[in-house]
Amino acid sequence: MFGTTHVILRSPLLRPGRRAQLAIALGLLLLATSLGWSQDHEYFVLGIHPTGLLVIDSSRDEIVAQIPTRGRSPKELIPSPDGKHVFLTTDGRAKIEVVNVPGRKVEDVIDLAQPGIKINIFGLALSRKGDRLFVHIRPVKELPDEYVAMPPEIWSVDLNTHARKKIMDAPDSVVSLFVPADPNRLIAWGNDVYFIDLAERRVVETVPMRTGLPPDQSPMDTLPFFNQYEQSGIVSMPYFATNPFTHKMVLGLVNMDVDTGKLDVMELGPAIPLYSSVVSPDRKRAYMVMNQLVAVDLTQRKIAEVRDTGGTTYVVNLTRDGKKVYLPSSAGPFVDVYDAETLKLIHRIELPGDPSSSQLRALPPGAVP
Amino acid sequence: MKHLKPLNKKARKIEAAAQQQADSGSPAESKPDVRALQAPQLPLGCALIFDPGWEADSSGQMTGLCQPMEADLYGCYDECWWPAQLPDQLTSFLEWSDKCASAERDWRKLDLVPTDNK
Repeated sequence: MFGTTHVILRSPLLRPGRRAQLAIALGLLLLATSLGWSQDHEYFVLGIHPTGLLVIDSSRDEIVAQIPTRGRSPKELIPSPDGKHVFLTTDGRAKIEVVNVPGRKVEDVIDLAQPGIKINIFGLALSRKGDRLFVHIRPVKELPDEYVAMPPEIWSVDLNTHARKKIMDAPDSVVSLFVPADPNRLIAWGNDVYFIDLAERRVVETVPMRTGLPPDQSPMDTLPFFNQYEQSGIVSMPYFATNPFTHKMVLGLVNMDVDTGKLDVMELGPAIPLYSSVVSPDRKRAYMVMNQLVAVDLTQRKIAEVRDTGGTTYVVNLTRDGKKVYLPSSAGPFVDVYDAETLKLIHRIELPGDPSSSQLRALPPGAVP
Repeated sequence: MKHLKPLNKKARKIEAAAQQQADSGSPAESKPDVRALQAPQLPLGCALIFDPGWEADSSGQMTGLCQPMEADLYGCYDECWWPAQLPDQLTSFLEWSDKCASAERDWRKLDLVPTDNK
């Protein structure tokens, strides 16, 4: 960039005065600085009540953009591979909005509802190429005096042609979808974990969590709403089960490698109420949240530390370097930032609205919102 | 109950469902249905009822509930938990909570009893 500028300035006809040269040099310096600065930064997106999507710069812990959404209460957030778009569910999980992040606007709204049928979306995933959305819907037929629940379904939406196609009726109680490395597979998490063959459009493998278990194994209850896994590639969530011998409830952690679908289950001890968890980028620690922030040593497979947080958190995420943990408040307009090592509160980011149970997702590296 | 007779289609459906449940010991499996979350499916941290000031967690205590209690307004309502006890934000009272960006800070701005549904 500087070399090209130098050649242009050599022409006597185009040579500007000293002040102009100084101004150009300063401008180029500022541009280069800002580009380098942006690439070093890391950005998160977070929905707020009633209608907003925030972009947060984690290096400054400040809001850098607020984008109005068309529907209320953003929930599931899926950034595109280049970080330029975010797909989010709004209006009671009824619609999918496509937000252009650098353009600061909603570009498109995808509505999968049919006339007379309401839908709720519990599970949204994007293909690794970023060209296809997978959506798990729960349709309800609206009759004049009655709502009739219909079988849940999994659909795909081609983001280039906008073509929509039903893939299959969904297994029971699915809440989340994940896209593994194999482009012909989709993972659905509900009562159990289901591996779907997209060509055959059927479940080809089921990992039992709640059903089909041997008599000596207790059902494991998970709440797979709040999945943040982009920093580690591991989907993590607390589970609760009743010990078949002591009949007491125990807490555990179930981690799934999104690339391979391989599951790792570890029991951690007596139950502590917890909603969700996230794994650090080096895969050595996990952080679980609800009314406490709980650090888990994944190498020793035990709880390392528990810290009271002073309020409920539904979701948790951390920075790419694994040094800061972010806890959006459930009923206050702020995000609390904790030191990942000491679990001490280091900063509070004030927000214009409650994050409530919106996901908090990191934009991919290099994204400049 | 034996001297009550169903008079319309819906009442006959209810009677048939109750009879089927009594016969099999479980609700009909052939057709999907809306099921309330209840023990043992009750997530830890959720209260069984919506009755501000009188809620208890699954162990009968309060330590496992969301804190502050205003968290329940959006956290539970948006997902599915207490839709019957709050205004219908999806069809009838769309703007019910638009003035209340933060449940804990702005709850006085909630339209708890909307009278004008435009």
